[in-house]
Amino acid sequence: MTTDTQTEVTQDQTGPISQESTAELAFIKAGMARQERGLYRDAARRFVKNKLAIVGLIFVLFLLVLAIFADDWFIALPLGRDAAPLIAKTHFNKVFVGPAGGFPNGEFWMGTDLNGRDQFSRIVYGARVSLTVGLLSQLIAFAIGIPLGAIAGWKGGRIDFVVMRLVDVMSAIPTLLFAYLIMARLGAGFWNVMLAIGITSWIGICRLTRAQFLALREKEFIEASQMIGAGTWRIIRFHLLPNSLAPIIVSLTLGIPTAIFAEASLSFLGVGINPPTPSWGQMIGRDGVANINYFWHLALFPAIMIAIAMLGFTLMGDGLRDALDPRMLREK
Amino acid sequence: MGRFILMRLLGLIVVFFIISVITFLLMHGVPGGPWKYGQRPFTDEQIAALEARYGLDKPLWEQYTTWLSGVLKFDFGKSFQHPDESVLSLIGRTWPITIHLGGMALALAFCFGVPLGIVAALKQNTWVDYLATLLSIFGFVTPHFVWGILFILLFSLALKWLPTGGWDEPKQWIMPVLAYSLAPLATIARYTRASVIEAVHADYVRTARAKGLRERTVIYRHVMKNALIPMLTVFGPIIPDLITGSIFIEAIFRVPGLGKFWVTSTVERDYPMIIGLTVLWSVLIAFTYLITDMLYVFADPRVKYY
Repeated sequence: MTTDTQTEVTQDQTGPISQESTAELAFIKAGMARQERGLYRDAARRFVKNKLAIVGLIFVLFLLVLAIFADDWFIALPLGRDAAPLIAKTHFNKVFVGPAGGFPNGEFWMGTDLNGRDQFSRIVYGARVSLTVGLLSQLIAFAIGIPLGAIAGWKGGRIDFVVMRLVDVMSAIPTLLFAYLIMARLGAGFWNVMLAIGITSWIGICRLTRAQFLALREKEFIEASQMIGAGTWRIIRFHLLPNSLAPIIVSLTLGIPTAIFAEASLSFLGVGINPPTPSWGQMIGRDGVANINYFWHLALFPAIMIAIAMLGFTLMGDGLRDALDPRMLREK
Repeated sequence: MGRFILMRLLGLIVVFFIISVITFLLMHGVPGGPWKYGQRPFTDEQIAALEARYGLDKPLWEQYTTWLSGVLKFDFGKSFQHPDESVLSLIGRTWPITIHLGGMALALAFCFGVPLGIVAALKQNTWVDYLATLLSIFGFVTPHFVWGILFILLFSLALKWLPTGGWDEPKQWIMPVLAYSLAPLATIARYTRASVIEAVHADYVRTARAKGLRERTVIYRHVMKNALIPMLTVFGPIIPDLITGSIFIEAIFRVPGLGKFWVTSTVERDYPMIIGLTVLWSVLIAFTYLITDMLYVFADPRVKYY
């Protein structure tokens, strides 16, 4: 009899409890459904709340507008519509439109350079050069770094060892010097700069991808997908890469200012962008520094633009990192 | 302790050997030579004669052993860019200027970076903190050659306070030092802030407050002491970086220092100078790490040396 009552009691207890727990589960599910906006929508909300990140975004958008619409809008402005296509095609090479070394005035907003070319047009075109080099060189770095890091992290063992030693050797050489050496061999030029910066800056992203893959490889959901028979490629494509995407995006954003800085440095030293094509670093290094005592406008405007570009991308990247990884924000 | 230092120094010799071999192979592996891509138009016979004179026609291992035996007698060879000057005298002539510049920048970065970081951390999330953070972002992000240009334009041209360049009188030191120190200053401030914030929230600080210590004592004896230890590893590598010079700062402010040789010796394939600078750099780095590790042992009794 005691046993019966006991069983009854337990039955009585289990009944409501299980009902309660399903109700609780439903509640949790509802709550999750309410909160679950996805990582990227959450991140976007956090990003918008971050004032510094928004300032960075505005700077970046400003530069993007300059770069994309360079020859449609801006270069045409101080020169008149007709001259624009010619200038864009010749990279400001042959068009002399003002007095040599003229100071800023109503017609030439940023003055003219020592060849009489409109400085404002060259600054605007420099935005296109800087942003293109920054973005494409990072894509080159990604094309090298992500596959290497992915293979090293996924396969491990001997391949990992070889890749990591390569990374060690690469990181022992000063980046700027290495890029300079490559440029000295290839010769100055738009595509070569991109290549040199790309080749010298894949180490960070390689390390990052390797660390991500190494950490994710041990997770249960990877094990589960292996168990149901997913192939390596499918796991990398649908599980590892999407889960590594957030840090990779952050790394790309923060890599762009570094690349812009590298381009400016190389061009400053005279091995970057070739002279007819304007670049901010080249404008400072060639004529800016030499004539700073008199033609102050030659160095001032490119310097400000480099600062804006670096600041914009860095602030945006920092904001993205905080938005995509809320744990780091809380620790700060 | 003596044994520890001795072992580390012995290890350093091995490291220098490996680094010099790698550098030697790398610089000779890059195509071209000191007289091939230069502006000097030499005939093939002249190049061959020059290479024979500097021993570049010999096999690599022989060149290396020749160089190494010279190094043991403190002879790093003659620079190809300045044929009448030895590598050592070239470095000896230009490096003191760079050390002077870098040392002052370093002092400035420490004297302002550390207090800035501490104040920002103690007044976390107030306007002081935001201002300090903003300053360190600006300092950290903007390249030093951009600072250099902006300083010249502001202080020399607009305000006419300071000369634009040169390295003869103290007045000319101000701008290059300032431009050079901003990035390390910002780095130091950033790390100091993070480190102090971490220490402030530690349990032993709560204990110190709980037992009724004055705020001043808590900050100086408990927060500072513990916060500064991890920062040693950040401070260390900044030092060799700063005292080996920057080509940009030295070019903009016309400082006759060592900085430019990092680039020119690579371009001119000035082999003795390249390897001389590499050895100099690695000696500096290695000693910085050695001293950092030793200081760490002093600062943190929990750390044991091996």
